[in-house]
Amino acid sequence: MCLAIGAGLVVGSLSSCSTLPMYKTATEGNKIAVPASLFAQSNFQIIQAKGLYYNIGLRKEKDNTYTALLLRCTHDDNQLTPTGNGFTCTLHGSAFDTGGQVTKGPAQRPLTKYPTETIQGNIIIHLS
Amino acid sequence: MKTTTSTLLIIFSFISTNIFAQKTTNTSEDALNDTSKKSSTVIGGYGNVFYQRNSAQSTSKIDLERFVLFTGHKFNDKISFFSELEVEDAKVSGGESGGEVAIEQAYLKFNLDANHYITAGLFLPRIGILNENHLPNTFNGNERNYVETLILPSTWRELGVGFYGSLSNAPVNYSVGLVNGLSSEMFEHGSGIREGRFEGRNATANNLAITAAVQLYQGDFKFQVSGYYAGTAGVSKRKADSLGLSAGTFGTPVAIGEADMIYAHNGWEVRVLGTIVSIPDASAINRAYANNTPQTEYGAYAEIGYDLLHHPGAQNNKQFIVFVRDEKFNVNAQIPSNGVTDGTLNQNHIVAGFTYLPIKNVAIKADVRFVHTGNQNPELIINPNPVAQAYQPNYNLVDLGVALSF
Repeated sequence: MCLAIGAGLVVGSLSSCSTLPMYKTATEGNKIAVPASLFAQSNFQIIQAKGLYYNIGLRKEKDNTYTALLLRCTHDDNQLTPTGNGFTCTLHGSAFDTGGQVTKGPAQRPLTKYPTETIQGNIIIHLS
Repeated sequence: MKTTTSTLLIIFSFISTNIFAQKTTNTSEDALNDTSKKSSTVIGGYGNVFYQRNSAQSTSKIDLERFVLFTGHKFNDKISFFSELEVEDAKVSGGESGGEVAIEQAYLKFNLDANHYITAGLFLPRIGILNENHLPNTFNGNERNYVETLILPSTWRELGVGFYGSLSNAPVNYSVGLVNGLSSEMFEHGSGIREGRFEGRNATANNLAITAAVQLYQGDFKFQVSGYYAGTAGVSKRKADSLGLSAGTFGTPVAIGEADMIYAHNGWEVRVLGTIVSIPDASAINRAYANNTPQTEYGAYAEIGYDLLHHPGAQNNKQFIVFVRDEKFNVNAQIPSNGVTDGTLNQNHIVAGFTYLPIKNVAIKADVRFVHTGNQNPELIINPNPVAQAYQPNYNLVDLGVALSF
């Protein structure tokens, strides 16, 4: 019975599952440029940049600034999975909130955060 | 055999010497945060110790239940190695029962791209919640829940290959694994399929197992469904025929289905899990090995916890989680005609307590487990001890301990 309920929940959720917005681009020098217009419909984008092994989670904050986080677990280097309330690592269960702070170990350090600036309609992520 | 402690010290010294000689190793955090390095070595570990008072027997014990060192090495962005060396109950000595030294994981991880990787070696298939994520500071209670100990035999590792992936445009993870199967000959009454695991030691490879899982993250929810199907007769066809068992890759099978859900929001966390194990040829196994193998086992639990130190929007490294969990399982829910039902294997546990984390990686735990079981079956008492205490179907365990991971 539990299985049936669980399966029903998952199937039901899958049918209404929202997709993650993904923007593919490339690094130029130590920078990545992302059109700000991508945030017209959503306040979160996954950035997959050629030349950078891990994805970047780019979030538009309420004050119109942008937070760019490298989606690499600080415990064991695994690519993180975005969830509804942050990011999680499937290897050992570490979890991070939307600001990159650890919410569940074994990871101890926050995610790498890259500085951003907006220039002529583009969000520039500095991979410093 | 020398004591395990000595062995570990030697191994640890060896690792440390090599690590520091190469000047590539730091803590797990330092090494992997340095993006400038193409290769790095990581050390980490976890462990827990706890005191337990058993009301039925009026006994108490204290045990360093687990101490695990893990070492990993990242050769480059594509290939890395990960391992865990575990000692249970602190010490293993020649001629004495108890304790265990085991390789819990040892696998190579080949990254295909950012969202896909392959593992090869001894690894933990994705079944249930605890099997993959079993660090003791990440679950409530000093003991692991019994459903994921007796029905799903965590920590469950086998030899083989696994493929793991994530959808790039949806919060969905999936995995498929092909590993060695089980041994129905090693099944033991009362522990389901647990003793039938090989865990990397001389596994039969005539029989195999396939396992798969799908995870979905939606808002504050995480859902997972997983399955497992294995052959349990790894003996030669000639021997299997003589025993009346089905040989072959998936002969004399075990099938497992599992579903779980985790909800976390504003200091609340809810975990729900259900699983069922089917052994359709249990009758043939009993005829061959007389180990009272059940045809069906099941288990389920639900847990709710709340972090009393949670303040929305505030960063707080400390947590004080109060929780209660209800576990229900039956290791012999269905018995074949040549088996004997053991009522004591039909159990319900209520666990309540707290987990205090002064930092995320250290936990101080206290809990009480109220155990209710079915009655003992007199047919299973072959040589009754005249001075034995009568079986008590209701008792409690009081646990107090500490745990850590790094």
